[in-house]
Amino acid sequence: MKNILKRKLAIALIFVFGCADLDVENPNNPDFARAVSSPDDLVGVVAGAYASVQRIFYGYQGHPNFEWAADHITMTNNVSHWWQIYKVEPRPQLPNSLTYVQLANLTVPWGQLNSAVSSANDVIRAIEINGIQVGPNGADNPMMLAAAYYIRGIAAGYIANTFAEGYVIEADTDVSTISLRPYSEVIEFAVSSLDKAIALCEANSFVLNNTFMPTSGGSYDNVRLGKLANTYAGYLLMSNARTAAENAATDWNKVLAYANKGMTEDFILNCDGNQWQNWLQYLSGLFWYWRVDHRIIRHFDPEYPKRYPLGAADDPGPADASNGTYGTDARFAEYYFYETNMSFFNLSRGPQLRSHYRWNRYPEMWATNGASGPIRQMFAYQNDLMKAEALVRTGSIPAAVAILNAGPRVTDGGLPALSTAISANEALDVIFAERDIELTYTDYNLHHKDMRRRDMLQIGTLTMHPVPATELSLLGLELYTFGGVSAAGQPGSASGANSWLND
Amino acid sequence: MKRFLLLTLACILFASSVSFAQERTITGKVTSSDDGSALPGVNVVLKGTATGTATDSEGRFSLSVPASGGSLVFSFIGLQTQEIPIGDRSVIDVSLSLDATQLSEIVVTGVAAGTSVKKLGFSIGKVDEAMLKEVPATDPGNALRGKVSGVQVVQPSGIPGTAPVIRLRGSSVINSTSGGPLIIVDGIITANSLADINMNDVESIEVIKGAAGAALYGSQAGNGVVQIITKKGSGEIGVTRVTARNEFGFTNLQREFPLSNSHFYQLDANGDFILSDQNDPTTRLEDADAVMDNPYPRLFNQQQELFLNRFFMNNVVQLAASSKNTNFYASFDNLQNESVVEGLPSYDRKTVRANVDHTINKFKFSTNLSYSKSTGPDATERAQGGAFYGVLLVEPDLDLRTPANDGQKYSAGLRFNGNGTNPLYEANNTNWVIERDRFLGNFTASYQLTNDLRIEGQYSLDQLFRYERFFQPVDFLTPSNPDGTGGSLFMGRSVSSGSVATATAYYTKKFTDVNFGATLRYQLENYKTDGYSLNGSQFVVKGVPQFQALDRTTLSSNSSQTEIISENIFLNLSGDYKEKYILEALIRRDGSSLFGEDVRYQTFGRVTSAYRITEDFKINGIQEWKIRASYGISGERPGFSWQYETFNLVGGTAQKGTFGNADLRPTKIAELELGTNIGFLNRFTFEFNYSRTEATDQIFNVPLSPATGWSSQFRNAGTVETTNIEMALGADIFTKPDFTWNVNVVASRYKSVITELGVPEFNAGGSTTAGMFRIKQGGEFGDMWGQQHFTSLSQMITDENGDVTNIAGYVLGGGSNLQLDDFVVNQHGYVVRADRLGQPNENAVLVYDPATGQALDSKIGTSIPDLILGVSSTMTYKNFSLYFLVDSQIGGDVYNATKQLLYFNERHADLDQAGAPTGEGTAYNFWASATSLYNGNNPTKHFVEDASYVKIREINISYNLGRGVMEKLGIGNVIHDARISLIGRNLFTFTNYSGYDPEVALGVNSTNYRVDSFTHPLFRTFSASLQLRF
Repeated sequence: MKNILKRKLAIALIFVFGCADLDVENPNNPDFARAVSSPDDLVGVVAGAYASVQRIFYGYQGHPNFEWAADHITMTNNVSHWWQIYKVEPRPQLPNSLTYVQLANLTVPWGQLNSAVSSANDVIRAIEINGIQVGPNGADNPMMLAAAYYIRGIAAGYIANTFAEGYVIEADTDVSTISLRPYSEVIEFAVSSLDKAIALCEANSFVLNNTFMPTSGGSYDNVRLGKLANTYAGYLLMSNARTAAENAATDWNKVLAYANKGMTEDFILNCDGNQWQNWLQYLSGLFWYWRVDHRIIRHFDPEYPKRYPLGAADDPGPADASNGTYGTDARFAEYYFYETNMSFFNLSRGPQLRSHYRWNRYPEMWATNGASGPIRQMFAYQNDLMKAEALVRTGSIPAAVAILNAGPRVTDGGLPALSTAISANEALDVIFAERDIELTYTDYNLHHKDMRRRDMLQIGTLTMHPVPATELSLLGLELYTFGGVSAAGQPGSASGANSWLND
Repeated sequence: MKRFLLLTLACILFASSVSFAQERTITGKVTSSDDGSALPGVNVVLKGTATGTATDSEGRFSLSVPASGGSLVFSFIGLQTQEIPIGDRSVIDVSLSLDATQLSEIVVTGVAAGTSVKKLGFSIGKVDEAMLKEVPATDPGNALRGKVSGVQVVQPSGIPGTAPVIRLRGSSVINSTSGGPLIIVDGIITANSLADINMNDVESIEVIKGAAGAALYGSQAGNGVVQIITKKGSGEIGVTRVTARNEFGFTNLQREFPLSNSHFYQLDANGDFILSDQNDPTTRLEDADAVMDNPYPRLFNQQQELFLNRFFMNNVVQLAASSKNTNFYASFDNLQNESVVEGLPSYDRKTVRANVDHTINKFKFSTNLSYSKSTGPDATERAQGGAFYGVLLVEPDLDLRTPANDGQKYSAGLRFNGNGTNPLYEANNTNWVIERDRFLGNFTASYQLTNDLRIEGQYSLDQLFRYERFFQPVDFLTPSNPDGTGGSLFMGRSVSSGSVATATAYYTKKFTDVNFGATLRYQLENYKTDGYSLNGSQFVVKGVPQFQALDRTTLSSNSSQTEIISENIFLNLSGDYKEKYILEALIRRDGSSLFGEDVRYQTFGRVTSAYRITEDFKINGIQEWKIRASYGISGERPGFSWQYETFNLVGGTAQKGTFGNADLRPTKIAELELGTNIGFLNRFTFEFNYSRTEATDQIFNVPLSPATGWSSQFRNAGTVETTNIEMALGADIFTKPDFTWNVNVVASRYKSVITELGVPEFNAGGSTTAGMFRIKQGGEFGDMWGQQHFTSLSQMITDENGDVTNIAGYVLGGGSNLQLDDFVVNQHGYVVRADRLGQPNENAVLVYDPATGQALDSKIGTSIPDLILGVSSTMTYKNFSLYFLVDSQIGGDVYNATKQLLYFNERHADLDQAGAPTGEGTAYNFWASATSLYNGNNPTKHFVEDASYVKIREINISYNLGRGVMEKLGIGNVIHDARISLIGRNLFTFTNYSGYDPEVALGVNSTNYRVDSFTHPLFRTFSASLQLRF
């Protein structure tokens, strides 16, 4: 009996700890319920969407690649395969495969931009469909909706401008039924989103929540946001063309209408070095890192060689700005610095990578110890140039010339005013030169988009990215890719018909 | 502090042994039946009691026993145990014979209760003190190397305090959270670094290599188990032993990386560089031939400037005592290792330990407590920056010891080369240290309820406080910031703890010829981490390395907490018939907060069996022959956050992250193990194992369409099958009185194949190598994939026009196509354009895939070796002993990414054309161009190197001064014995690998991702030690 009692005691001891509570919460990352536990939490979701869009400007995954391919900037680093794929001559095919070691060039912008669309839709759905009221009696609903439609439009616009296909997802769309749509449809979705943001800005008075964008000069109100949305709508619509033929088909009257209501001040972000960064800008001035392609130098000296000489001991020396088509442009000495030190730009790395010139404008923009400080994301001058181009393309050359003559070309460059009698092509050449010179390092792949819509990219250059192989695989679709001389003239691959390298 | 240590050391050194008188004294001598030699260290115990002693160096013993007598049991590992009735004798001389079976040891790992090896149904590896004491390893991981079959140890970095990576029977879990076996120290389940364990405290290490044997530990032990067992008492009843051991030595870099001592710049008549701008030393003019055959104006060996012979020291004091009811062990250990890098802080570790066990009637209590405090360096590795990058990049004409213009001791940038900082400046001006405070402790109480039933309770705790600090002063220089970066500061603190409570009931019963045992155990585990970090830059005040001295706008912070709760229960039943037919079964149920909420409990288990053939059949020359089979399932738990739906919080904003998975299960590893153990010719042991493992429910972070807003979801999707063959051979070749020689040989090979992959194939291995390790169905885990260049014209494919189709730029019918006669093979064995041979643009030609029009993507190597070998041997001649350990890897590759970037930076010795006949040197572009061998840093076959090696890993030459010598010297009453040793670690490496050392890898999964990428090189140590026992 005594032994039986002892055994029972032993068994009881063994189970004294039993049946532990194994439900443990993750205190580091909220789930949806905790992230959006109250209407006010939707503010954080919108802010997250803005942060997602900004993410494409840092990390070297997507942003500088096309600016290399546009022969606007150069360096000898092979991070993100700038050198291996985007700047090598002749241009190769992009290996859009599941195992391509730099697939992040595609997947990061694809993921961040689509994520931003999804977050914006979460907020729009909560307010418009589920009737959530943000702020006292829904006082902040217009601000929240304007902010959500705005960022959805920007994100979808970048997708349309960058990828061959994308999604069109409204707030009430069942994502299990979606399929890829061509970039022509995605841009319509983007512009319609911005139209809704513009309408909300025009119909309401509000100040944007200060967590959405660290804008210089304080938070944007409905008026400033409305202007910004107009500029982006026109710019994204205009930049969507992959070829000169598509560019000719752009609705330039619509672009002009947006430009007329567009921004009148520079759009400057005060980056914090963490969530808000722009690597291309903050590293742009490093003398041993980024250099300026000869294509840009030739705007000032058309006699400067298109490419650095092949001989190991050959050196093109400095350019002579007095050779400029319209005279000496004083901005050349101001914006660009001639480096005698070729640093890493050895011949073995390829003559197309070599240049003595580095960018020297806005030294406060680039810092070597962080990505913080004011970053010019979009100049008011960009809206002016967009307006000028739309005017030229809609037959109002004198009005366009008036804009150019009032701009930095004359005021800073000291060049003579243009005649209002110049041809449309002459006016466009000046406009695109101005875009190359004045809008350096601003918007996402701006110069690549400018080059492709004039067919001026080198033969075989990517004009856009395919949908990433990972996404195609998830959808069970066949993988495809672009680029390479053998594919020249086919969708996604520049024909080289008007290549700037052509004689 | 040093003074205190010395005083403590002195006090302990002068302590003396204590013995206790008994009632009746038995004396005698134990000798070897083989050759009649005296046997020291044999345990002599009064049967049925804890009363006992051990023989001295001359084999003699003296033991007090009750007047009533009883029986004495003589035992020693490797010898057959003898039991002799005392009767009325006062002198008992015994002759012990060799137990060649070596199977009499008791093991405690992987079994429900302490079990003799001969009754195990699965393989267990054991390294005992005899082998561990010869060359005390710096950590238990390195102590296993070459000593246990089926064990692979890779030290991926030479930074002292970095524990090596251990793999048992290969890697079967691709996305492993633990990355290695479960580590247990005296029953304490640990989750932190092995580097904190003082090897001088270790008595033995037991290794369960397979999932079947490890099934006792369920979801914790899919990668096997390593249990470290520390010392308990003196082993001599009534004796207190004090041991003092001091080892001093120096470190030394064994091999240098091959670098170029020539360049391609123009020189003037004085041998100086010709500059285009006399004020800018970077404006050197290139030679037209672009051949690197020009001498530098002066030469420094930068590696010899940075890597110096530095100090190594280990001081040990141990106190051990045993009495009838109590065993006590205490120790203090001081380890100092300065590595080989000038300016890098020393790795200093101090450990104290106290182990006590005490028996009171039917109660037994024990506790094992250890505390370790270490401060060690960290440094930038595997990146373009830091000292290990700079030392290979800085050109050899530059004097690293040139002072900076602002008065600092060294200059950061000597001739601008981007990230190629002066390594001496970097090492001396970056203060990057890691401090660790580690506490390990347990308390166990057991009570013998009945003759058959014992219950036991244990609580254990493993707690680690970690502090990391990175500091660069306000005037810190870099080549691109010659005026100072403004400095930066990072501090991170974290605490991680694991507490485990265990309750066990043991039941044993003997029925005539049948032994039966049952064990029931419940265990509750709780693991927590809590940490935060702060960093910032731009000091506004000099000399105040604190956050308040930084520009506030640069400050950023981060924190995280995790908690894991698990409970498990198992029932183990074991039985044998006459100890020759052995059967055991286990079932275990694990519940864990890491499993998805819908699958919180999972089942594991095993069945093992063994048959001791020689118990039924007498076979000439074979003393013991056992065959065995086991099948079991263990597992690996998911990572903490994997099951959760998460929003990422960045700067207070919420972005969708991973999509939750309520069905996330642990990876299950099922293993069938077949093996045999043979003891033969009275001096040999042999073990052979074959195992086949199937690891199902591999967990991958599967990307989701971002249209959902979620980036990915952790899912169970994949199977890896691993086959393993291993063997161990032990031989006591000579056992003469004055000469003994034993040899142990271990060998193993494994192969892991991904048989099922429920996700699209992907690359792994991190950004350093752009992820060259391909995770692909049908592939092996460790395969390297990449591009390659033509080495023969026969590799070229031509179309009907004779145009080569598998090269870049081919267009069917294109006018720029090339044909076979446009190419030749150059002097370096690569195909180049014939018209470019000997020209500055002579480039190797990349193989393309005509089907895709892209560079051919194919397997270019594997990290997995064909064979892992270890040979250890101990020879004694009179008072001399020689021990050595040689280990070897046959086959397997390392990707030399360091070499690839040195091509790019024109610094590798391959580019050096000095001595080439005039006009026959090859231009540097052949190696350095992105369109040639360097290949834009893409994974490329040229950089895959055979990692085979043979290493003389450990050597110890000792002279032992036994008790007799001490007595002759007249100090026998103070010093029991002494040992003087010369010790070498990592002494010599025989290899064709071109880098510092073929034992190099990434920090993540270092056995499967073998990449050389600017790491702290491994180094060797030479030392001498003196050990005194009192």
